[in-house]
Amino acid sequence: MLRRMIVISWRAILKNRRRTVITSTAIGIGLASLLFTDALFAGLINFMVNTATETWMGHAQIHGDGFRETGRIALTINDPAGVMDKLEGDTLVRGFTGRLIAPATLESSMELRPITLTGVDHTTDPDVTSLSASIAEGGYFTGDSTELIIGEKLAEDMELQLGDIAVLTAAAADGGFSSSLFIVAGICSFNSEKLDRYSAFVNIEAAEDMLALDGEYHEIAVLFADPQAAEAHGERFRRMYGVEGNTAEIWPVLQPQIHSMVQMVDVSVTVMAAILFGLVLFGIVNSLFMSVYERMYEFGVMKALGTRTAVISGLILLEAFWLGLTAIVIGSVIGWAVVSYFGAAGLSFGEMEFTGLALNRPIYPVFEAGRIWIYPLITLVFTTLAGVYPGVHAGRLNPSEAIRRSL
Amino acid sequence: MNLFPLVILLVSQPSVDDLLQHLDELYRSEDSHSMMTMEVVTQHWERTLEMEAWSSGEDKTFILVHSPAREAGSATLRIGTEMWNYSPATNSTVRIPPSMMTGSWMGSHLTNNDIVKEITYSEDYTGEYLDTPSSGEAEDGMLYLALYPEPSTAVVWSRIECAVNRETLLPQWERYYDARDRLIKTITFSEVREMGGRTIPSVMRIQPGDEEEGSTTVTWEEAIFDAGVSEDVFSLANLQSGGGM
Amino acid sequence: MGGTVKLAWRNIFRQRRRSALTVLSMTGGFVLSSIAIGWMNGSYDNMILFFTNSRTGQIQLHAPGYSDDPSIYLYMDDLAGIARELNSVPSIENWTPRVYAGALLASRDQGGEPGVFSNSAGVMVTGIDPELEEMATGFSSTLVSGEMLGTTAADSMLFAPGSILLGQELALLLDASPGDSLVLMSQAVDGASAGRRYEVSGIVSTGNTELDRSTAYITLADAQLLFGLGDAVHEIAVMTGSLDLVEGTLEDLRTATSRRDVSLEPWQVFAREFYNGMKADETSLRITIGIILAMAGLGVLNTILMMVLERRREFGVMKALGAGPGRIVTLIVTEAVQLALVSIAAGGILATLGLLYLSRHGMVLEQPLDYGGFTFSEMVAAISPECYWLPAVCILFTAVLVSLLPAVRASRTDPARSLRTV
Repeated sequence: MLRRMIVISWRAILKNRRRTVITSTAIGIGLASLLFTDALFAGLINFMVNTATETWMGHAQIHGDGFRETGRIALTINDPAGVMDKLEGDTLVRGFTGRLIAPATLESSMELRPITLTGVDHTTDPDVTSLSASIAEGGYFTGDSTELIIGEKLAEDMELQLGDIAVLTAAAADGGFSSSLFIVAGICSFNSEKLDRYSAFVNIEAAEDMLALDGEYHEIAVLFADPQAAEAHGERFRRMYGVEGNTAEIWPVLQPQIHSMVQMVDVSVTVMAAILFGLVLFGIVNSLFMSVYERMYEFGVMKALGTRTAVISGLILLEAFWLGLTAIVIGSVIGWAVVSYFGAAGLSFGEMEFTGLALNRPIYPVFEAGRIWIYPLITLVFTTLAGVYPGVHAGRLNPSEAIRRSL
Repeated sequence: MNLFPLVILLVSQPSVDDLLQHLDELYRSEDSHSMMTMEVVTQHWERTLEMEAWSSGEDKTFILVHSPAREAGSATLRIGTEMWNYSPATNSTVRIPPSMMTGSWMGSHLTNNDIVKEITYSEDYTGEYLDTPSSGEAEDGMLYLALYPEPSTAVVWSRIECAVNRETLLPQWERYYDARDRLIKTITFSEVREMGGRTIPSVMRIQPGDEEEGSTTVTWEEAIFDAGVSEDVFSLANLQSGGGM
Repeated sequence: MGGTVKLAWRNIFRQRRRSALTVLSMTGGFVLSSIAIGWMNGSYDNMILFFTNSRTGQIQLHAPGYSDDPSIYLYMDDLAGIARELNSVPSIENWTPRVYAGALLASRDQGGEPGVFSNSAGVMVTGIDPELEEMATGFSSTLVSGEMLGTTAADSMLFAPGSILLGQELALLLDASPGDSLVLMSQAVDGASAGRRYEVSGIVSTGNTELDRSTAYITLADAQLLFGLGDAVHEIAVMTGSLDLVEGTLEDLRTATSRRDVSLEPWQVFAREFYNGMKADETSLRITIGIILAMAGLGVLNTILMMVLERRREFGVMKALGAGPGRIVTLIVTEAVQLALVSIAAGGILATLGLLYLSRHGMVLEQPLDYGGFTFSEMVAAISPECYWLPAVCILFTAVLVSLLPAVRASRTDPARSLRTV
């Protein structure tokens, strides 16, 4: 019986090709829109997180206890060699780099400013940050102890150009003071106030000398192999590296503002998805009802011929199911095509800044593998369920009335 | 006793190295005790402070402010890289954190590094004579020098031009230029007097290259050199007692 | 023409079930789109309002040039006069003045000598009027221990000790807690030394670590006296209560303060980074709203198209009876328009109910979001004309468009052929 119902319902769908095509296409486009919206927001979130973390901060950071709160240069990371060994062997970690961070004054021939001195390990830094990629003038570190890289805005404020002399003065960890001569080797542009205006980057060896902190680090920035993994592996990261006098934290804790925005976007997507589904649902129900009422004569005849209520309802339900199936095939294909296209080409929003970091890179919509199959599934389920009411109604038809009315 | 003027009588023009060493020695002493006036002119205000200062070696300084009345009794103690400030208004001694020590000293155009005077011409610079200075005319009776910092000398200027009186071998002015030949600051020395057994300029004026930034003029009223200064001077207790020790 | 309208209307009622279904679908589309728009606008307005209300205000006043170079010397004189002008602009809900000055703040070492303060840090001292600040930003919500500032002798006497609030990380740095004694050292605007003793009144946390590590708060009167500012301030933050009032308020303020040399900036300018961040999100959401409207349109397409296509026989009869093609097209389109209008009307009412509810009660978030020290627990909808005319235009436009093409086709069909489908 079921096999026959399947065949009959399938044929009914094919028979009324126009309606089937229009309705399933409509639902399919609805699904495709949902898929695209989800992918768009996933891309947006990726973009926000990426910009916030892979520019400088990293997905996670390790510090000596108390350093993040107070900035005291004596609070270096405990057992840095051991920590770095662990990071090296950690399969979840894609890259890491150690830094020294201390308050200092930068002096040019025209100006004297307080800035944050940052000692960068040029061998590992390019794996983690975009400093090497954001050099606007000059070049990245080659390891020379006099190399100084400053942001565009700082260079402007201090009237420094490539090749100019600058003197950095800082209090060392042993209580002494040191002034060292540097030459501007590169000017970078992160489009972030903090990095472009208040930071001066030198090779970590030069910083070690100035601060009397050989072999020490204030901060290790870590990148995970999977950017989304930060939150999932937060606990593990904290447990593994936040021990023995060190503090380990993931970016949602380090940058709560970005995290909040991501959460807000997430909430928006959920609401949007619900609304889109609602719209699609209306279309489905409408279609199915229409199809039932048109074929009242057919159903009337079927009933008069002895077909059971359950069978008629079942037929409608199956029709709805086929409709849904066709729809999700169409929708998935369209959705996949659109997302693939924009996923490769990128959606550009023109030039704008985002929390101080340039947004002239496009956003790439991307499917979230763990989540994306839910949409077609729910569409199929809803479409099928939408057939319930019309199905029941059709099943309960009074055969003579049905036949009479449609004539 | 400064022997170089004697040498000058015998030689027409000292070697650069000798001259640099002489300039280094001018204000240097084992210890000193002086009274001075500092006038600071900035874009926004003008102030004149009367101060009494003690120094010992390279890294110990004690300065007591006598005037204006509102600040009388304030004192600053510097030992190496530690700096303390006492304020009678709050009756408290505050330690200045290292990060704030690299800026200007008491709001003037001198930096704390200038005060410590860790840089010596003869060691940190190489010099040569100039026939004429970069700007202005060469005057009779003046010697002109150009000083270039050694590679390890951490300063932002690329050369200092000095004008030294040929006879007295006393500096008249110093002009600091950066790598792009811009005048960063000018220090002028004037009012040569005898103080503490030395004949030296008693007025030093620091003028940044940008005139809008104002200027600082330090006048030594009296000075005693190498007369022995008690170590008790350089103590927190002395700060709080208003320099009574 | 009137005949067509009546006929269309009657046609609709004739096919009650079909019409009802069509209207239901379109109404649903309208309501959902409308709520989506209201919700989107609401949540964004909310975020911006929360962010700006927590500290910066929607409009700020400074001395010209202060934003580029925040120097203690760039102050605005005559706060009393500015206050009068601010109070003359009715759309300003709250405003609060501030003084900013760099200073050295020092605390005692545990077990150190009584007069010696060896723990010191460079800070940005912020002078605030406790009452005005509270009304404008709810500053007391950032208090984590101790008490807020009140009036002290320091407000009027230069040598009296004052009260001070510390950012959380600053308190850690100075190892200070409420009740501890601190010393402040700085320079007044006339170059003279400025200094005072303070008792820590409380500790605040805005959520911004860097800010909390470098900021300490004293009363405005205290700061003005200490730094020799008289009646001057560096910044006035203005709260307008809602975002759509910002532009108008800015204009009114310009007029009110036209005789003064002050610079007025809206939040889009002084909070440029935040604004740009919002823009990225906003653009994504505009795209989404576009998609939603397209979906609603699609729903209209689906139903109207079906409606038209199924009635070919009917139109065939009409044609056979002598109706001209123009008449048929007009009839079909008129029907579609009437259905659309009914849907829009019904949808408008339902949407309003939904939006009203959502704008009062909003959606409570599972996990409250922390943003700039403020906690959101609710996202509410914003009712605006856009919630109505956007979906309305979309549905109407689609209905007309979708009915037109098949209508034209139907009108051209040979009556005999359409009747043959019995």
